[in-house]
Amino acid sequence: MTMLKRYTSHQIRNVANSMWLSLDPGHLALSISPLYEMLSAYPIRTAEIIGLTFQSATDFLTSETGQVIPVPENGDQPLAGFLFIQRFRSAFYGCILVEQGDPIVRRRFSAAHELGHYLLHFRPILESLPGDADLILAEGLTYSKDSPDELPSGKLAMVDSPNRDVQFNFIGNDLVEREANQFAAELLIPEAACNIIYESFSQKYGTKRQILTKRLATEFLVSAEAMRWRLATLKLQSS
Amino acid sequence: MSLDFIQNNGGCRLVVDTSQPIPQNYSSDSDNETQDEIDLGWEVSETQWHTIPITDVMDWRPSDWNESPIRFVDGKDVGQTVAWVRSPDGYPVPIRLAQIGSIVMTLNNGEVRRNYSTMERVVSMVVDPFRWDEIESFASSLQKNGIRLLPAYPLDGQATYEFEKLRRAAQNRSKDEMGVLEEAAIAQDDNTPTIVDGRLESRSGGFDRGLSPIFGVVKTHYRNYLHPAGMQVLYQLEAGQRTPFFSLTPFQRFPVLTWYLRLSDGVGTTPTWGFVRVEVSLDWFQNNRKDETFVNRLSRVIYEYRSKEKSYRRAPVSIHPIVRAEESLGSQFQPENRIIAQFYREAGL
Repeated sequence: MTMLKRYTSHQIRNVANSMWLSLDPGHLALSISPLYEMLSAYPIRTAEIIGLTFQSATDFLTSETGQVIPVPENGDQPLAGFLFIQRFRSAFYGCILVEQGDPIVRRRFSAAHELGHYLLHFRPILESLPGDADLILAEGLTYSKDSPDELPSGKLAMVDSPNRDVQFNFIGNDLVEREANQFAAELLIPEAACNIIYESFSQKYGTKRQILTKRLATEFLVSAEAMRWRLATLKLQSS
Repeated sequence: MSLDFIQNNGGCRLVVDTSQPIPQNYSSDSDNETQDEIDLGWEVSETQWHTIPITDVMDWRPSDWNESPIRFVDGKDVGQTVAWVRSPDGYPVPIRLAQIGSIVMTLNNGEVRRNYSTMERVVSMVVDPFRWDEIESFASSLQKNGIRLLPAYPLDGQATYEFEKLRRAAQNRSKDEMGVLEEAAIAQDDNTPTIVDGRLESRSGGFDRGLSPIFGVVKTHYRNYLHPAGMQVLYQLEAGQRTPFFSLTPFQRFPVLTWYLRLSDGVGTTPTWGFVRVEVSLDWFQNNRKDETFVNRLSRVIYEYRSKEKSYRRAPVSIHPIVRAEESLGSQFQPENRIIAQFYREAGL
């Protein structure tokens, strides 16, 4: 049984903050996080697919890698994001796919969520195994149909002997999903920037939650739902 | 940093923003209001509608009324479609550049003074046809130039290739954001009686609908809410008269009491010119046990505030403090051609 590493909120924030270290300092003056540049620091390619499902994702990956990729169960389930990491004969391949039909702000959050899984959960697994151990790690991300405005959730899965085993074993739980969501929020709406801008905007626009949420969401290029959640977790909620 | 996104996607200047006629089946904001619920029998029975004079309120002076609105909130959106880019599928996507802002004017000892104002530069456009990393980079470049990107969505939420629908979506998004700034202006002090220029529903985030004395004055009438007898009364109104008030619950569920008030006889103009529609939150009206006396007094105050500037084209449907608000806010905006020229320079167009 693969044990996933667990994190405190403080640790997740540190991992997210470390992403800024390699960037042009000019980005610090802006509130929109350069997620794509951050992602570019890792050997993970990104792409958008219209009608993203487990099946369409694995079709895409098969065409990319030339290898047959196992399809997790519920292959036709619509997805907002998909993370795929493969180590095969010591060669690494990583890919983040997002649903092209989703709004831009959701696509960014989905990509940031998947990056969080890679850094927080998949990379420690890769590092804990011998360098020549073959494996596949994946996650499909969904939004609840009943409450699409809530934050997304997914299931981590692993194939630890891809030569013999073509079945994904689910290894995640709700806690790791929350960690990935927190990471995405830390990355797209950094606490320090959020506090400063909230303070400034509160003086300028007042403290009504609905107004500040709408105003701040476009400042960070995130959805109003993600912004509302972030303000609540930072205890910056107002009247 | 330049706005590479525009060049990378085949950007072109749009020098003359000529709006095409809207197709008959086009779904606009006002069409959405077809789900409004209207109760015309609130003050008098639907069959007994008649004109109601408000200038002969006895033993009462507007200046002594402690409920008289002394704050006035207005917003402004000055912009146009300045360019278009090609989506990955090959269809043109318009880019709208605008200055938006809001202002509060306060009446004190007979003088109207600016109390609060804010303004911003924004670009609005439908962004979803493009890759998220391209839009992220574009939004960052705009931010460096002091411009905020407003992602817009077609009214029906469906992807479209119709330029006019995309243009309207960008325009509406900018106006919605102006509404947010108006809400912020209202929220500076939502306990003081305030008149806002326009409908209450679209500014409802700025105040408590049950507690705040915020009143809307609507100059532009997109839709007829009245029955034939009501329309007869409307056309019979003389300056200083109102229709009976009635309830209106728009599709977004912000119920108001509303009535038409003629500010000007409109001599020499069309019969549909010269009246405004006043809105009061139904919850506030009921919580505070208001009745026709309040409606008459508020109408009288608005009538007293009517603009008397003959040179101002919209004077027959305007009140003086809002005209002053428009002037004051407009003076803070930079000349449009200068903003556009700067945008073209940054975009390399």
